[in-house]
Amino acid sequence: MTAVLTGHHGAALGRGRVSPRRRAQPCRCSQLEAATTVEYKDTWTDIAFIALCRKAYGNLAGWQSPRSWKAGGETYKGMVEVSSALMKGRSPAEQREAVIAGFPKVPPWFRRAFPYSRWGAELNAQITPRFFTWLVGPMCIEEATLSDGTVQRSAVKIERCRYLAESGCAGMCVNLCKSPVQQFFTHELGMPLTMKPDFEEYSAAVTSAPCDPAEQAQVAYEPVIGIECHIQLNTRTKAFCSCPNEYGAPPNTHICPVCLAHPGTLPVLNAEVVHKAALAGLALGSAIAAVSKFDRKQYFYADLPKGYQISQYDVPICAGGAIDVALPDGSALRVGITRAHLEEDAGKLVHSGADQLTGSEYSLVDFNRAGVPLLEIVSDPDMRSGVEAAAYAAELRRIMVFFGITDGNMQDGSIRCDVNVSVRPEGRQRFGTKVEIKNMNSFSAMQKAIDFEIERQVGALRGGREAEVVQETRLFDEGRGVTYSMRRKEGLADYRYFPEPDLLPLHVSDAYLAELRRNLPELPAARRARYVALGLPPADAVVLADEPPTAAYFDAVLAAGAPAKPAANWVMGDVMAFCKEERVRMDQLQLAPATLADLVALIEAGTISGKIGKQLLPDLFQGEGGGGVMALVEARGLAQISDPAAVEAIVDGVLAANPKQLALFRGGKTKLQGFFVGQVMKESAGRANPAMLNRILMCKLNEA
Amino acid sequence: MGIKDTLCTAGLATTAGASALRGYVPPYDAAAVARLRRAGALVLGKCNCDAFAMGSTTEASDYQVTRNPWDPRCVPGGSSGGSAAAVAAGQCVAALGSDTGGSIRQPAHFCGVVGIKPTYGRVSRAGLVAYGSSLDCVGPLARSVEDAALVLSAISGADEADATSARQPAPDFAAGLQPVRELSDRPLAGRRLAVVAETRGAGVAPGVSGAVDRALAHLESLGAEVGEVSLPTFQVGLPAYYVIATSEASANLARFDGVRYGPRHEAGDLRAMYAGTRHAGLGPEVKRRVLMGTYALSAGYYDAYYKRAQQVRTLVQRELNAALDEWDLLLSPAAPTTAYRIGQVCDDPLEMYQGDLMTVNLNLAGLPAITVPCGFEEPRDDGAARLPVGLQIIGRAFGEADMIGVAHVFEQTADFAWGSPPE
Ligand SMILES: [Zn+2]
Repeated sequence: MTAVLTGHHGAALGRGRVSPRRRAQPCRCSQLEAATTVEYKDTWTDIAFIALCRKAYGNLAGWQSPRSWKAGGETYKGMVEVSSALMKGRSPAEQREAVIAGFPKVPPWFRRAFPYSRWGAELNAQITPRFFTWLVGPMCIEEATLSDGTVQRSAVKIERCRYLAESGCAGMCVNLCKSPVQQFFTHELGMPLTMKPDFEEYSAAVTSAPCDPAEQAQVAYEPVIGIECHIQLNTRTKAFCSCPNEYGAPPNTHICPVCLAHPGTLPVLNAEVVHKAALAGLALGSAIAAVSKFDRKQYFYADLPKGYQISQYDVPICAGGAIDVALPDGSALRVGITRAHLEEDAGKLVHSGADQLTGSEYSLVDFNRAGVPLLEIVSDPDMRSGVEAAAYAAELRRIMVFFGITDGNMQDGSIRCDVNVSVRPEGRQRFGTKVEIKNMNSFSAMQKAIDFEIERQVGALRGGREAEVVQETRLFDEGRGVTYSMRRKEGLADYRYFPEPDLLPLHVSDAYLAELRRNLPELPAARRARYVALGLPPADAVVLADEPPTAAYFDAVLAAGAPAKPAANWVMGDVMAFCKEERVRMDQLQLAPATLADLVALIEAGTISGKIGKQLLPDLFQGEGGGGVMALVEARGLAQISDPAAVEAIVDGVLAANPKQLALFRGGKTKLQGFFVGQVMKESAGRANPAMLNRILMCKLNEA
Repeated sequence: MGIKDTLCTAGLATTAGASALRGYVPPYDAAAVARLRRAGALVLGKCNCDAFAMGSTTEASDYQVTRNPWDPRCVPGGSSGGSAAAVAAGQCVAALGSDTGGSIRQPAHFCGVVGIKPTYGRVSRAGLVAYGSSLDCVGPLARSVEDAALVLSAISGADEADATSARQPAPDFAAGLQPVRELSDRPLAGRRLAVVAETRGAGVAPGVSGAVDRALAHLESLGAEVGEVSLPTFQVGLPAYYVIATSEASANLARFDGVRYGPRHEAGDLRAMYAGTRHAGLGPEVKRRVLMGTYALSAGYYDAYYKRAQQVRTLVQRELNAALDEWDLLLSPAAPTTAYRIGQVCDDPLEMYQGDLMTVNLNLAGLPAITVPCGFEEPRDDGAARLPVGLQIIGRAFGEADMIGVAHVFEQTADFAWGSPPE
């Protein structure tokens, strides 16, 4: 037995505590005791199966054993050798995955056609001995008692597993046989199957019945999240007509025969839409199609005037790309972009008496939004948590806002995200059942919705309630923090896409793209890196590069000569607070960036104290100080008193006026120092140079 | 001028012959109508048509039966039957029609008038109630080639409101037309014309064949070389046409849902409102075509129908263009028969669809064609009137001028083809 294993086990299995004697055979499983030799009488069909399996594992492992293919015993040993080679350099999850990859593919209809049944389970037990004796040795059928107490003849007892005995390796047993076979039967065939090996006796019990809940609860699940973001482009006019593209107008005031789909009207593509979409593509690192086309996506709804939406189906304007997302913990995540395509928005329904069409007394349609250009950006399924998804969406929004592509206002619906969430057992390649979540109007709501949904799905799978995870659209109820089912998708909706005959193919030339590239704005990530390079903490860089007006303001303060750190403190502190208080954007401030830079310079030079700076700010916010902050400081006599003689005079005056406190201080009550500092500041109207004040005051206090 | 009711007229009800648009008054003129008005034309009224231009007899109008001025027991053809009948009856100088698969040329043939289907993109489709968007063309019907050419000149040209309208400058198509007295003995000398072999013989009524044969002989006598060209894809165009036209129509007609305009069937919920509105608004022929198109575009059928039809379309286009590289113009009857009796093909849509055989391929290829009267089919029974026959002359893309020129010479010299319907 040991000879078989030597040299074929990879370092991956050498983890954990291993005694020196065992190190020659670095495998956890070699703790199994050697078994007594058993003679197997392999028929020619058994040998054929063993050879087939040996060949398949060998192909997977990329190595074939030199043993004979003729005798049953030798062929079997060869099979065990290649399967142990298969484990080499692979993690347990990868081993399971590799073996499953070798199994036949089962079409989805099979699971629907043959759902789990007692009959199926018993049949399975009948068949297993006939087909797997070559692999595991003699078997017998036994009765199985299910968790609900029923008894069925669906258990197979493997008296002494040949595979386990020959390999003597629990790892091989679990990862190359037990797990993949269980997974194959349970997930591919829809026939839950449990294998319980006994490593002492080399026996195993195979039960064709729903998995043991305790075992299922241990399975680790990996969430998989992909996001489709609909970005409203902030063009002056709509996508296919000349109505204004503005949010918030009275209902049905931005409409025309084209966007109401009157008979005979035709769409004409707005050039600005192409400009913004191409710009977005460049920001996402997408390949921009030299020729893309429009298609009609057909469905009936009251907010869809034409009965179809002009969209791009199989040839979108942007394909591929990726963005780098900064996660709250400081790490970075690269999220791939699948595609981005142009389409038009629908109108908006306003329901009376209910919050959806069903059950409402009547519904009104506002077509102002109908025909507003949208760019739908589809991410790769690269996110694994609500935090990652929210960070991705926030970064995507930031990029689109910084590039002037969208207003990015989630409350107004100028960015709407649909999230696809599925979970799968860790290590599995195939995706789990996908659930779509809509109706999240902030990134934090998105995060909560996703985290709830992951927990719901994992909970259902662990609890044996797979039926609760179905392909459907769910809505997020922010108040209750839960998702709830909107509609089940019966298969895929058939949108009967076909090429839009009213529009010509969309051509984007290299010259056009070259021109765009020449004037490309700075990406938020690059901006953050630039701020960090100036010595700012990454968290500050995120705050400063979050909104274009803030970033532009900060850059202007820097350009006016202010040092980065104090400039950042002022912008993120008082200026941001003022903007929030007054509900203005930074580009609307009367305080010019150059004036703020001026103020910072006076403080840095010691001409005024920070405190005086703060005192001046309210007036500066009102637009004063345009002629130079220094002039204001002088006019108000606010310059810091940094003349030692002047400071000393004030200190002397204060000491003379407070003999009692002075005596107490000198008597040991040193806490009174603060009192004296306060008095001097009061006397100097806050203008005394604090450092100098402290120095002179301490000298005087300690003189006697 | 008369305007086919598929073209929008500002302030004047436009129904496209369909109940779905009963009472609908558009706030705008179709581009072609606006151009005519700018050129000084007066709009006398709207001309009846098959609902949404879906038909070949005008019997599928949801409003009235239009009769053929040559024999009131016959249909005027369709779908621009109202336009052709009005022109033939002298109710207007000319009329606008629309042609998706022959809807100008076939009624012109049935009513003994001139009809032009221009190159796709030559005339803006803006304001034309869409049937098959990639096939639809707006064109004139008139009593003479020159009148038709004048109207075509007025309505042609690029239009910002139609992305598929062509940028080509539109010439004055009537400018070069010579009066008959200035024509030489052999005015068509050097012209190379070819009859499409597949439009001859079986399936074509003897009366139509006879008239066309005579027309061909006449063209030869005018100096033209008249040969024959075989287009093996000719027969496969018809099914491809019906797949493409109905597919596009199924989407184009989705807007008639009662939400924003047109009659609405009030119901308790949206689905019932849609169902009721569309049940009442769309006639049986329209429903048949919308269902055909919906089916052709459905998942699992798209490749077998729509995609394949587009492939056939490419073949048809290639073959026609190759033939036109070799010949100046192609010739064929405009339809296999003269005007049907009213009710004759109503119950047999397949027979009606067969009637489009001569014309649909030019819509698939986007090529221009003109129908010019070329003689008559003698009465089939006692008391019946003789019925006109039209010759279809097919030009190269944007080669309307050439096609019109030959049609004009033919018309001016073919006395045998002249006539007026009985009073
Ligand atoms: Zn509009």
